[in-house]
Amino acid sequence: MDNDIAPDRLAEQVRDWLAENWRGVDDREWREKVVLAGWAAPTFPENAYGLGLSKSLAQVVGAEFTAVGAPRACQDLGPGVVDGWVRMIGLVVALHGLPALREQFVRDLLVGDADGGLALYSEPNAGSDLAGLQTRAVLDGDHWIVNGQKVWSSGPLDSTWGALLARTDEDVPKHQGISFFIVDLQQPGVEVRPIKQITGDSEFNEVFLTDVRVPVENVVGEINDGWAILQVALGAEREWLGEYLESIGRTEETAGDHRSALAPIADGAADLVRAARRAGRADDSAIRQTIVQLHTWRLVHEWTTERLSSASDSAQSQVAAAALGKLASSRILHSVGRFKAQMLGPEAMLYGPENRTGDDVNREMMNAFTNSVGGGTDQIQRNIISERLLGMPRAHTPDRGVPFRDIRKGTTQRNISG
Amino acid sequence: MVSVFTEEHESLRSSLRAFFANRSPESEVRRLMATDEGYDRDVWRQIASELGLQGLIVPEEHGGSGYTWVELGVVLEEMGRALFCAPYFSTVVLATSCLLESGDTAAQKEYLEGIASGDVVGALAFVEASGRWDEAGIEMAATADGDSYRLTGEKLFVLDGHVADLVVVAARTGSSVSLFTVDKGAPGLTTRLTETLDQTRKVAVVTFENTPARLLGVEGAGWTTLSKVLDLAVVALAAEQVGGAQAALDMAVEYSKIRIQFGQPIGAFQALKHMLADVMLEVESARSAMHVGLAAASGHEGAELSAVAPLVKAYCSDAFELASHQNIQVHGGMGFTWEVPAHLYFKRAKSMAVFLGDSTQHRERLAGHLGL
Repeated sequence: MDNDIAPDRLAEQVRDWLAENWRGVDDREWREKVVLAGWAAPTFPENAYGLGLSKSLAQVVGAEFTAVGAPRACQDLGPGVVDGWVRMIGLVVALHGLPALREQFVRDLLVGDADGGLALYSEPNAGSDLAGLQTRAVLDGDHWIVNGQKVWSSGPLDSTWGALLARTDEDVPKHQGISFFIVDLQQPGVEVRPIKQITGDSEFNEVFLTDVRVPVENVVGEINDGWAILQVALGAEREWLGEYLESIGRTEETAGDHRSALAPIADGAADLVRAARRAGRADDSAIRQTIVQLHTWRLVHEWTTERLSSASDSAQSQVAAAALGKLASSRILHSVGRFKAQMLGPEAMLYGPENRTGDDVNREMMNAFTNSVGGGTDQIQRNIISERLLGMPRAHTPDRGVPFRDIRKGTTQRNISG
Repeated sequence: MVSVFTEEHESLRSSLRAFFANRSPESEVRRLMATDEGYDRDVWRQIASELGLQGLIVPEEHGGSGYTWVELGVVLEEMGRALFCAPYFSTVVLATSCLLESGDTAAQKEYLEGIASGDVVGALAFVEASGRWDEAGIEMAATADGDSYRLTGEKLFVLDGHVADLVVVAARTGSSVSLFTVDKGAPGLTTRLTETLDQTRKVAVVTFENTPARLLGVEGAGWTTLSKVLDLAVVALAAEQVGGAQAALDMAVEYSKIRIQFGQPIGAFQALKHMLADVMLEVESARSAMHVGLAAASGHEGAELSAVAPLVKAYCSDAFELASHQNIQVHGGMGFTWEVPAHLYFKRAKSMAVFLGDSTQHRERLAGHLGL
């Protein structure tokens, strides 16, 4: 479709199409119709079930569907969890996948036949240094044979597909020998195990891959160009994640638990004050200082996030907002967790369903690590801030420019799910 | 909206930065800090006549330009960055706000035009031997003498008190506090310069011996006026502190790129990178607090000055202390020398951290606003 189309005319086309096709039932027939008409992902290319529309024109399409209550349009813009897969993995396959993969996988994803996936990126020995990953894919006729272990993949145990990063060339520096695949997880040699976290909960899996077969047409982008494909997927993930969190925030707002940037200064401190009151320590000057410090960190974090993300749309200020914000969050989450456990007194020694208070507070206290370790550790954020924002020199890295085969590596496998 | 600065403010900022780079380079700061007077009268007149800086928040009817605390914030941030030596904070932030907030139109008519033109330097004499920055710290008594009043006592930590043409004084009339004005040369008024940690900012002891004084504003309303002035002043100070903190961070980053040890610039070591990343987080956070403070000082909707001010003071003081401290640490041995200007920012930070009340005092004030 032509991006020069007037929004009014596009809206009219969508309305006509809806009048003819929408029967008020969100069944398989409907979903396939929406996908084949290009409405499910209007910004995707025309050869990948899209219309090649700009984001703003795609929003015109979305608005018409919303107006008549018809679902499944504009999954490429949505903030939902399933939309996330469309936006991250659907996008890179639509843009860089071979025709066979593109036609099947993007269609399955948009129709809803492939709504649960696993991101197979991190490894026991490739976390902060993801490009040091050691899962190998070796070509055997018209298939790649994959061996290795992945960790921190969130998604159902019976997921049908995975987005896999694997090493396809060991004789070049680490970033240059990685390829990106879509892999069928319903085959022998794939073992998905839940990881039991320090909280006792399981939200992530580890995935063992033994002689797993991936057809050659399932490579996304060029062989050995997987790192660049990953950057596209991660960029889309960040964009989606921001909107996803915002959509959750909006839900909270309607529940009266949201504060605008310049709401009264005291808003948002109630949990801290309540914890101190409950402990009978609201008059303790050391406790008062702590509460004010914690509350101040929360406020300036909100203000800085708003200031930097609205100040300009330059990539620089977006990086700044993300890295500084993540660092600020870590301090807040860990300190608030510690404070609430302190205020609980000996009850903070308890855990489990019979000790609701201890359980809640300790879970909050421990989950703070998901922010300071997950999605790039605090230390990686500090590297980003110092190198990309302050312009400090890059650290000396012994593996730069060295073929992957020759660099020092940790052991490949570590079973952490027991 | 947290951000208060527009493109016009950024253009004001760049012209001020160029001006201070030219008229207040490090060599000038060092020359002036070694003098008793502490500022250059020519430059003082120039910033009045050419830039209109003293009259920035003075209403147009009194010869000023009637701008808000947002514009003043830009000026103070740049002055803080340059460690500009002049009685600007005392005159424009402290004395001028007392005149404006007192609602005393006669006093405004008498002094504001001279302030805007650069002819009058002002000061605020408030703190006494107790060192308290609150109402209870004001013990000096004013006695009525016909239409006038007489002051006897000693005021400490008076910024630029030794060069002031106009001293605003807080004293007791009965049980409540009132504000007074005393002119330079008044009988019984003596000032004595104190040696200070931060030589770029002069502090005097001001003594009154049966000194005639005129009431400023309404008798007994002095603390109402003064508490508002102090809230405005800590926000203004925050702008200076953010300017100074950013300058200290910039210095540290630059030095880390050129200092070579172990065969590489020390800025390549994560020990320093992570330290300065943490400093950047504090400086950017302080900047956000400053924006919100300036919005509140300018009466923008939603920001309540009396609640915002203590937060801003505590945060920006802490951030400037950290940034200037780590700047010395990054400079190593050179940071401990008189020659490298890192100590100038550090001393400004340490001195301003306790000026107008320290961080713990302001956090305790904020605790009250949180219902504690």
